[in-house]
Amino acid sequence: MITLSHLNKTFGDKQAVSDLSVTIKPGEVLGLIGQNGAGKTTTFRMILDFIAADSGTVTWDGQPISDDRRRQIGFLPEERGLYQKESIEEQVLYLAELHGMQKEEAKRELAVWMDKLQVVGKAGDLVQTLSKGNAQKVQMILALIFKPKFIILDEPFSGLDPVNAALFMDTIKELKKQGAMIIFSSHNMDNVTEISDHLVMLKEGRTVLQGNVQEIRESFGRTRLYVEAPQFTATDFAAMAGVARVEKAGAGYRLYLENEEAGRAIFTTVTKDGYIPAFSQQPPTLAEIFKTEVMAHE
Amino acid sequence: MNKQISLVAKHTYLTRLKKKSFWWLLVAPIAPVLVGAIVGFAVAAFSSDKSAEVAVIAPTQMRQAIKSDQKELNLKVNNQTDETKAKQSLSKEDIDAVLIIKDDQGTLLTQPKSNEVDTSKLKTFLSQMALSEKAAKYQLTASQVADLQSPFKLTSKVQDKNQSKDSEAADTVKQMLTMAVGILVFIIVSIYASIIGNEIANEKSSRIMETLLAASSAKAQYYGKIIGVAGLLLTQIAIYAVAGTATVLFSANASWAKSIAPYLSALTPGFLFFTIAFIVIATAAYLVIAAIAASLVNDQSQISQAMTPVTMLALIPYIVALSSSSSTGNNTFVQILSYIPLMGQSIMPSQLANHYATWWQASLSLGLTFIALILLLHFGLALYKKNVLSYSDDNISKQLLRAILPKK
Repeated sequence: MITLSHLNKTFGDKQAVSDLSVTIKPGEVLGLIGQNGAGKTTTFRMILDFIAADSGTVTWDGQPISDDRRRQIGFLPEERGLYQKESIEEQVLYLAELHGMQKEEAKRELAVWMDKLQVVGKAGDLVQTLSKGNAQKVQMILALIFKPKFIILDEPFSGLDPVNAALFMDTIKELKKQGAMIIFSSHNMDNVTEISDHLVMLKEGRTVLQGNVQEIRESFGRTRLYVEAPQFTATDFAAMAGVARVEKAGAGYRLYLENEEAGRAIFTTVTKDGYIPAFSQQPPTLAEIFKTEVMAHE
Repeated sequence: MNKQISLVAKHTYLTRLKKKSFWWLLVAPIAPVLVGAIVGFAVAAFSSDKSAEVAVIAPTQMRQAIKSDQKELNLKVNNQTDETKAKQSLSKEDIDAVLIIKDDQGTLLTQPKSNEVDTSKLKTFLSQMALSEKAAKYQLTASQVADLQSPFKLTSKVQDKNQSKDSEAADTVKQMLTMAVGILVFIIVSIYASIIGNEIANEKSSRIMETLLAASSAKAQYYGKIIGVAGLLLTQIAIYAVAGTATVLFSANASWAKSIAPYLSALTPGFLFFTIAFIVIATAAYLVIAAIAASLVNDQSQISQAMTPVTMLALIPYIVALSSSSSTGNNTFVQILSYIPLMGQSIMPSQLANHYATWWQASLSLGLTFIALILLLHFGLALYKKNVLSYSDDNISKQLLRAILPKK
């Protein structure tokens, strides 16, 4: 189990991370969200000991992380970088060896990972000949090839097309199943919702949201209602009690409710004549909560 | 940790070794010498390609002697023995020269398009012939002739209780040595500082540094890179040493080797040891400074800016070494500088060769340089660790000063 306890870091007058405490258990995925400069990368850098925390501790199974154990952390940095004039194999083997892996084993695993992440090209190809997406896959291989039990992924989906983003998501899910502890940051809230067990939202270094993703959403109440009832117009919906706003959404309407309870009365009204194609009352999406929280603290 | 340092060192070393630039670096300092030697050999070979055809008008015995040695004299004796006809042939450019010898006097007539006659060889040969004739005339024995011909032997020695072996080096050789060491150290320091600078700047600008640090540590990267680049320097020195030794062994009897032998008399094993030790230790110290400076850059475009302070620092001992190559080398200022780390490596070897310093003094200077290297390594690691992941828009020199000076 990884435990971050009361971590603090300042740069000059700026509080980069303030009193951050969080735990990640084996087989759990923690999503770290926040605007640019919220303190996500600083948190990762403190875990990896690139920078020292002003106060607070980072432990692995209750022990401070030793240098040897730190080398067992798989890390995909936000700033992607590879040796452009080296081949995929040369640099993957070099970094795998630095992580303590045997060369021959790394060679075998490289073939497996290139196949799994569908890297276009051969192991002997120079990195400078790769597309951005393929280079990012190689970078992901560097972070995962040595089978780390703790993985840090800083913006793993940025710059990827939906197909490759899905490929990365599947990989993360598989690693989770295998018992890895994963912490990742992302600006894509759909991805965070799909793969995170827990999330921490940072705002200027402070923790403004923390907990299980579904529980956090539920805590905001089921105030989003999608309804398809052909006999009702936008004006009809707007006139209903507890409806704050109405938006046309595809074949139906999206209603923003003042409170969750208003949904029951609306359900009774729209179904008084029987069947309607759709009625879905949901809590706000993570993206909506993110926007709300960002604005609320400004 | 040690394994990681060795992995980083190996990677740095092999990556550079595989690049063409390293082999150019190896060839560059000796290329002018090689080209000069090849051109010189070709010119010599070409010029001696065709022997000059000479009509020799001389007493029969002398003519026969020249004819029998014509190959050594690099000429071909023509059959003509009549002076007038020979001169006519010369004016028609049918022959290259006419050699007329009468009453111990010789005249060599040539024409503008003649193949060259080696007059030096010819003169020596004719003098020898004349001497033999005179010796016979005065009834001198062979040993008397040899005794008359032996030159006066003058041996020059400088009184030096510590090392008299080196004292035979001529002043010119000493001056050349002083300049050569200064230039050599400056070139090596500049090149290798630039290599490590580029290495680190490349990793910073390509943003691979975080990946490397996650897989190892700043310490492993820092020491590994310095060791890897120092390994390249040792490889270069080893290749030169092997090539030099092979040249000496295989060319010891060659005329060119004999001609430069006096100039190499000052290169004793002791002097070479100290010079190489100074070069290696001082270059390592400069590598540390270059690593610190390079850790401040954001991208490759700033590398020359970052290396400027390093080159400027290396320039001081270079200038001192050049200016002290004359007799001014033996003054207090230069002697003090020869003990100062990062300066002494260019000055102390020449002080040693010129006998301005003893082996003990050279050892002290080397020891101080080594201590400075250890301190720099320790100090440099802290700065490297601090800077290697930070990217600032400030001027490099300003950043360097800020990193070195204590916080207010």
